[in-house]
Amino acid sequence: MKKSIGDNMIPKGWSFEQGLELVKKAGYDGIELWLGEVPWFQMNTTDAQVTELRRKVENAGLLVSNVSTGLHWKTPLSARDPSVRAQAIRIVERELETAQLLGCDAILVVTGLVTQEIPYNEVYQRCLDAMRQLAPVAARARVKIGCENCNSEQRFLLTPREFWTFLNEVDSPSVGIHLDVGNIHDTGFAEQWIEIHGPRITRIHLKDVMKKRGRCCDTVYTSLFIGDNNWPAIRAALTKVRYDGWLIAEMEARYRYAEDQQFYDTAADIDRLISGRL
Amino acid sequence: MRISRRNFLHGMTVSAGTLWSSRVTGLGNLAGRPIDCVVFDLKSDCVLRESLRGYQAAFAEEHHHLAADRVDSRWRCRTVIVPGLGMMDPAIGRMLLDLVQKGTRLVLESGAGFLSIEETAAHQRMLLRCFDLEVAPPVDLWSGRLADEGLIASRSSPNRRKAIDGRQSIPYVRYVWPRETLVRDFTRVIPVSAKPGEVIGWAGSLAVGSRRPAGKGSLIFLGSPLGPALQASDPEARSWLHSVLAP
Repeated sequence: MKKSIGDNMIPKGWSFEQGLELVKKAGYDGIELWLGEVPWFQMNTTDAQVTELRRKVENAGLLVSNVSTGLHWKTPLSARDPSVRAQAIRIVERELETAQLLGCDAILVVTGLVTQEIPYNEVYQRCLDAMRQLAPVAARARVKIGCENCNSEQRFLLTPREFWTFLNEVDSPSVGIHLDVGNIHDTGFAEQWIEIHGPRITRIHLKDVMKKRGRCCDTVYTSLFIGDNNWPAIRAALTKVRYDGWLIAEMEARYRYAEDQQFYDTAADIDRLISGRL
Repeated sequence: MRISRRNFLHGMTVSAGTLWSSRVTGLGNLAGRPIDCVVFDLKSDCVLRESLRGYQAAFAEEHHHLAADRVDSRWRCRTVIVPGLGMMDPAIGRMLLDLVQKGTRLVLESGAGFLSIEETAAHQRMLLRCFDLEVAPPVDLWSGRLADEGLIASRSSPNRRKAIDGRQSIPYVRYVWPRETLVRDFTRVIPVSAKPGEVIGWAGSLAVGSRRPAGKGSLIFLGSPLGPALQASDPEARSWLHSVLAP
């Protein structure tokens, strides 16, 4: 397995190049690029500029593990307004295009948001339609779409079997799951999600979660090994399903001080996870 | 979503679109006998395509796909449904009114909730000119009520936190004809001016559905799209639609 971390973790005020140097020094193999969340990688970043980002990543001795985006929180594929949905589709298409340019084969997509206003069945149907529309585009690009399980925030595809059914209905090898082991909270167990989805897992996001805190004003997420995830079970499940892909740190709770130290600490944690010394 | 002048003219000069027909209760077919129900596809003037798909899904068991040039005011057709209406070629409007005069029940579902201000104004003018329907601009039923924004904002921007608004809302349109039914609202509604006895749907105190006789037929206006609920397999929406279509 290979280690990666998001470029949205790079401390504010640092350049992309400085961030890459830190990521490399901390021992990662790659970097996850977040479309729309960092100044150097926006929707209007040109192909030439994206190619230049790739050159910088490779010059730093790294690879691009995947392309992700948080833009769908504001522009969801499940929106009722057709023009918003069209924008959301365009975001996924741009992720696919840039993934090709960056030499990686997976993107992250937040599929849909169930809200008080927009009910589950509507969201399900629109996300299904969107993924069926995008699957051939992904296949042509040879890039896999990983639908992220954002269980608590999305209120969508809340159980692993439900997620499995959704992927079955999409029915494309180009659409799988970007599994975040920290997002399952107290509605299940990450190791069971790993078991059930096995070969459909495109990438894995790592973070820990404090299940009993609930989600109100403070984040429930925390650094690896100090939350409630059962990490030995997660490691065993990864072995069971022979997952050998990227493990990507997504530390939503950031260090308040010495931000660069979080890169080193998290890399060391991931090394321990990979080694199984837990 | 913008309706360009080019698209509008295209709609006027090319085809009327595609027709779907359904025999809901084993009524006539298309070979010269009366057609029971037609779902009318205005192509680019249908601004809520998912609504059209919803009606098609609701009639999935029996339908015919007809070519546009077969649309003809000489038809005998019990019901015509126009889903997700944005704009309409005046010639098509006249043809539909001819059908209504001869006994057709015409269901116009507005798709104007997400149009721009200019497009909405054009939509209003079109409804008034073609169908003598006076409607208001869209009303956002959810404005300021999004209790979920706190979660979503915190997710997309870890440093920003919002308190969650615990206010409750009733997210339903209440239809009172042909029978009482609650169907999910679609965020924005188009209020319609109608006499008290002609109102068939309410969003709170707003009249958002109307029905009035016209010639031998009737004109039903839906200011809150039903099609998305049909596509989402909402049983009450489907059941209500079938009640509307009943002889």
